[in-house]
This record gives sequence, structure tokens and C-alpha cells, in this order.
Amino acid sequence: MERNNILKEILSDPEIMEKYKIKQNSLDELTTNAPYNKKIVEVLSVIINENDNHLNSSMIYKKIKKIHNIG
Amino acid sequence: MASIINSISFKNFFNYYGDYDTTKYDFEKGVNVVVADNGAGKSKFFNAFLWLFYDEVLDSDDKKRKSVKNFAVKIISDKAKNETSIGETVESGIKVEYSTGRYKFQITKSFSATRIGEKLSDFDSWQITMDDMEVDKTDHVLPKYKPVYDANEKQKIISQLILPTLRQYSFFQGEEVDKMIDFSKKSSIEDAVRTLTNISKYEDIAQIVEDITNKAYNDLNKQTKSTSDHNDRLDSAIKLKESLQVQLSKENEKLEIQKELYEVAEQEKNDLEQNFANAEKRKELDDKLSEKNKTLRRVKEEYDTFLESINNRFFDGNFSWISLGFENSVLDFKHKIKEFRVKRYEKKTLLGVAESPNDYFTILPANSPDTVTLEQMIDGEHCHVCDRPAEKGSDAYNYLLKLKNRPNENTTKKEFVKNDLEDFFGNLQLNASPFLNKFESIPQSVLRTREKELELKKRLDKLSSEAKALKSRRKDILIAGTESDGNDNASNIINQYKGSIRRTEQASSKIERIENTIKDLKSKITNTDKEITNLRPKDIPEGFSISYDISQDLLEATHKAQERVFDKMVSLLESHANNHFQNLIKYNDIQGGFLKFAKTPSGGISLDYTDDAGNEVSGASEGFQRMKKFAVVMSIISANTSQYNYPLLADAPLSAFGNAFNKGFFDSIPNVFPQSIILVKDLYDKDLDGKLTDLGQKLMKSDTIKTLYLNEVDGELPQIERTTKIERRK
Repeated sequence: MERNNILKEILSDPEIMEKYKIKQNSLDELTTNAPYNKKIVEVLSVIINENDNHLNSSMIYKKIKKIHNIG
Repeated sequence: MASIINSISFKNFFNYYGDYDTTKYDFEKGVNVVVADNGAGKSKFFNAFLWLFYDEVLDSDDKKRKSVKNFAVKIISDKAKNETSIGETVESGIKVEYSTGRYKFQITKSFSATRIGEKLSDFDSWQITMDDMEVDKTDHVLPKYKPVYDANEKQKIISQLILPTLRQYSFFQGEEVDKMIDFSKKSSIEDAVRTLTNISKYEDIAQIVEDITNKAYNDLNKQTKSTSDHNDRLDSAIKLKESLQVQLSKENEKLEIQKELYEVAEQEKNDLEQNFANAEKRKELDDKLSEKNKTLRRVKEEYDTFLESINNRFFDGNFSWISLGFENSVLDFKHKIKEFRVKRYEKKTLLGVAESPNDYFTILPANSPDTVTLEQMIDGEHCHVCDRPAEKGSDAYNYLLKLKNRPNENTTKKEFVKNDLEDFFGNLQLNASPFLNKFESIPQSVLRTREKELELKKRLDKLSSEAKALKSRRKDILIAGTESDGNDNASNIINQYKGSIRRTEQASSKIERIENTIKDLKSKITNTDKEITNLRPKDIPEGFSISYDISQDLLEATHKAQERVFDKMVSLLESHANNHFQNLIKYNDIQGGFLKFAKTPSGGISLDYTDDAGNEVSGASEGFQRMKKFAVVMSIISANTSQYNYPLLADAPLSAFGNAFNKGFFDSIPNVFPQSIILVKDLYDKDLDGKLTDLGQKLMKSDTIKTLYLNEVDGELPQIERTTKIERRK
């Protein structure tokens, strides 16, 4: 619940919403759980979830690289 | 689900004499009250939780926490100790039962003491063995307690009752509230916000996103360099960005320094505000006090001189008061002196007659014949008085000689009493005569003098109490340890205070300037970044660019979210704090002010107390100060998005602040705490039938109060026999 709120709070930035085409109603539905329909949501969800799992930034970056198929 | 304390019981724990089943409190969700006079077990109750959480108890003698093991002898009930013979063992302990949504736990901490010496309170007379902590667990569906053996789990179960980080807001004794939130320390509110909100999560995420952005940027650059399709414009754009970033980091360092300077100055300003809520007001009071002291000294001198003059007059011989009580002695003296004189003359005459009868029976008048005639009669040997011859040697001749020598004889007085007190009594009469007509005026004089003395004394007392009131008002403005006499200190404070404000203003304007520079640099970096993106070779895998792009956007968005959350929290705190504050003080006649939270340039939160018009208010009474702190603590808890899951355990939270505050407090706490156990003395009145004050009786009827206990000890019994009796009233 808290993770979802953090996700929504960060992505609620108007510039982000506009650039990544996130609509208000879909923002309200967002969760940190898969499946993700946008990469930015997936990246941020991984960061939020793995931070809670006490992974450091290098470990999290490795996971993010996989999302972008560059890992 | 919230942790709810179901019960606590004691075994020979201080005055709680007896076994667990005889000294037990059962509690419910909601507000629970334990009413007790001093010495009737409030602090001991609180000590049980200190033992539970920290293996310590508070020594009421020096107000310091002591380890249970070292303090064990004092913990055991005196009555239980007294009933234990040498060689026998007595047990002392506490048992707490609490439940969460799914489980119920029972924790027992105890020790055994074997008596080995005569002296009851002597630490050497007892051998202490600490028992293993027992923790039992059961679920609510099939309640059957099973022991927990794992030490870590046991500790976790204790922590879960009230989390260690939250105990400062949930477990405290009266005056500790003042330390909970120190308005003079900006960080105090921030720490509380940090403890109770998820703001630190955003900070963590921002840090991770920043690291990831840097890594993504480096990876992207590596990819750029590895391709052949790059050009000089790109290289120079990358270099420009790097140089801009170096500048940015320098500006950020400068910003941090200025923020620190701001915080130091702000802290100093807050310290001064706290210590000398209003230095100018204090100076005004100092001036008034100095004037008052001057008058006081003058009147004191007048009073002393007056008393001294009364004292001196007793010795100047003219003071009529010394004859007070001698009114009847005058007549008495008259009679006695008359009697004395009659007797005296009788004695004198009798003696004179016996010795020289002729002296008393002469026919000649006194001093007759005169000396010249007598000379002629002696020379002529003839008495002209009786016209007879007085030949030399004859009786007549000798008589003439005797008459001639008469004056000499008269001067030689013969003693006729051993101590002649004629002169003494005569002087006495003479000295007393000025007082004879003053008797009547003495009571009036005493009355007038006393009136004057009382008037001076009254004036003196009035001035003293006025000076005392001024001092006390002055002290209210001050904080212990910084009190100093004279105006110089107040002036110093005013100067220091103004200095700190000046420094905050300077730092604030510098912060603004640097922030503008940073904004410019960031904008330049963004533009350069755009240029770099356009210039990057097209054969780099798309993922690298997207990764960098997304992480960059997220970095910006996370910082903004962090700020938004902080701002929202500040305004939420303000609204919650004011709601709680108004509830807490609603029964008070004096209208309270408003609590205003604001974000400082250094990113902290400042708290001001203002009136309707937004002017800062200072010098509120201690009760209001305590309520302000409660309101802030309660707001920190209630403004937290998730529910607060821990009970409030408070010993004398509002001691001596009066009914209005108590009533507001009991009304407000259920809004924040799922369960409260409040130990309070203010509701106790031993002279009333039910031993409860009006407010106590009202609370009994209130739906918010779920249980109410009354503790009593028989104060007339010797300490060794004294035990706490627990009576459940509700």
C-alpha cells in the first residue's frame, strides 16, 4: 500500500504524466506489482520494491538494465 | 492491528503486595484510568513497564533509572520481605498480557530473593536470582498459551507492544512530555516527522535514482565512445556538461554551508526565543523590578528605623509605655510613702528626744538669740534674755556656749535608721511624677504605633509580593540556568537575538542566490543534455538512452515528490496539531492561539505560536506549553497516513495543570491512541466520600473511559505494613 502510494506520488508529476502519457485514472490504478504497461512504471516499481528488500543501487541497476535489454 | 494491553499484574512488586491474581488490572481498548494519590502506586505501575522494556526501574529517591538486578531488594514489597524468614525465599515480578490482531502474548519478568541476613532493607541481607523471562503466545481462535523459547522472538514480542522508536511518544512520565518535542530544536520536529512518516523512503529512493542515473549516464557514454560514429561537437558538449556538473556540485556545497549557517543562526534564535521568550518584555520587567526593589528597600529601611526607634525609646526614660501596668501603683505608693514618712519621723523624733530632750523642748525660737548677742552675753558673763548673771563655769554660762555652737550641732545628723530610704522614695516619686497623667493616653499610643507598624508591614508585604510576582513573571520568561540579574543580560540577549535574526536573513538571501545559480546551471545542463542526445551516434542500443532518459526524469520527479510530501506533511501536521490543540484546551477559559508550522529556507520545519491576527504569541502558561507539545505529538501520530498501533502509557501527564486541561486531555486522546492507560492523581480527593473529584465522577460516567481504577494505601500503617489496594470502579 505504502509502496503504491510512493509510486503514484512520484509519477503524479505533471511533466512525467505528459511525457509518458499517463492518464489520471490509470495513475490512480497503478501498483508496484507486475504486469507493468510502461517502462517508467516498471523501473520505479523495481527501485521501490528492491529498496524495501535492502538491495543497493548497483544491484538495482543490474535489474533495471535487464528491463531495458542492455544487461 | 493495534497492540492492546489486556492486563498487568504484580507479585510483591513495591507496594503491590501479594500474588499475581490478587494485584491485577484488566484493561480494555480505549481510555483506562488509574487514579492514585502520591505513594499509592502510580510510579510503581509505570516502573513495571520500565522493567518490561528496559530491565530498569526508576529510583524515586534520585529520579535515576537503576537496573532491576541491582535494585531488586528495594523492589520487593516491604511487607513480603518482612514475612520472609532467614533462609526463606520470596518472589517478585510483573506479568503483562497484550494482544494484537491475531495473537495474544503473556510476558513475565521476575526474580527470587533469599533472605540471608537480619536487616530487612540491607542489600547484603538478600541473595538475588534473576529468573528467565517467560513469554507465552496463543492465538485468539484456540486460546492455549504456548511458551516462546527463542530469545530474539521474545524480544520482538516485547518491542511489538510499543516500538522502541515510538516509545518517546507513547510511554512517558509527566515532565518527559516537555523533552519529547523541544521547540527550540528544529530537528526535534523533523526527527518526529521522520520517525512517523515515510519521508525517509523518498530520500532513499532519490539517492538510488541518482546513483542509477549516474550509472546509466556512464554506460551511455561508454557506448558512445565505443562506436566510431561520434564527432568533436559531441565531445565538447559532454565536456561542457561535465564542467557544468562540477560547478553545480560546488554550488551545492556552498548551499549546504549556507544552510548549515542558517540552521545555526536559527537554532540560536530559537534558543533565545525559548530561554527569553521575549527579551524586551523581560527588560521591561527588569526595569519595573529594579524600581520596585528600590521602593522596597526604602520602605524596609523605614520599617526597620521605626522598630528601632520604639526599642530605643524604652531606654530614654521618658517613654510613657514603661509605666504601663503601674496605674494602681500610684495610689498604693501614696499610701505607703505616707505611712513610711510617719514612721520615719516617729523614729527620728523618738531617738532625738531620748538623746537631747532639751533640743526638742527649748522655749527659745530658732536662731534666737543671734550670734552677736550671744558673744556679748558670754563676754559679759550675763544672760540678757533672763537678766541673770552667768559666771564663767556656771551652768548658765555653759548653756550660752552651747547656744553659740548650735549651728554646728545641727549639721551633724544622727542616724536614726540603718538605711534611710527617704531620698530613694523621694526620687522615685519625683521621677514618676511626669508619667502620672499619661496613663490614659498609653493604650491609644500603643494602638497608633501598632497601626503604623501594621501599615508599614502591609506596605512592605505588598511590595515584596509585587516584587516576587515580577520575579516570577520574569522567571516564566526565562529558562533555568540562564537566569541572571540586572539589565545587561537582557540587553545582551536582545543583541544576540537581533544578531541571530540578521544572520538568518543573510544566510537566507545567500541560499536564495545560490538556489538561483543552481537553477541556471541545471537548466544549462538540461539543454546540454538535449544537445548531447541529438549528437549521440544512432547506432547505440536504444535501451541505454531510454535507461538514462527515464532515470533522469525519475530523479527530477522524485525530488519534486519528496518536496510535495514534505509540504503536504507540514500542512497536515499544522491542521492536525491545531485540531488537537483546540480540543485539548476547549474547556479552558483562556483562548489559546494557533500553531503554525512553516518550512524554513534550510528545509526544516519551524513552529510558531500565533494569535488570530497571525502575530507571534509568547509567554503562555505552563499548561498551554504542555498542551502545545501534546498537540504536536498527537499531530505527528495522527497525521501519519497509517493508523497508530500502540497504546499510550502516561504517568501524571498533566499533573497540577487543572481540571480544564485534564478534561480536554481525556476527551482528545482516543482520537489518536487506540488504547491509553493514564495514571493520574488529580482525580483523587481523600476527603470526599467516593474519593473521586467532580471530574473523576464525570469521567466515570463518560463513554470514552472504559475502565477506572482507584488505588489506595493505608497511610497510617507503618511502611512495612503498607500495601496498595486496587479497586475497580468501572
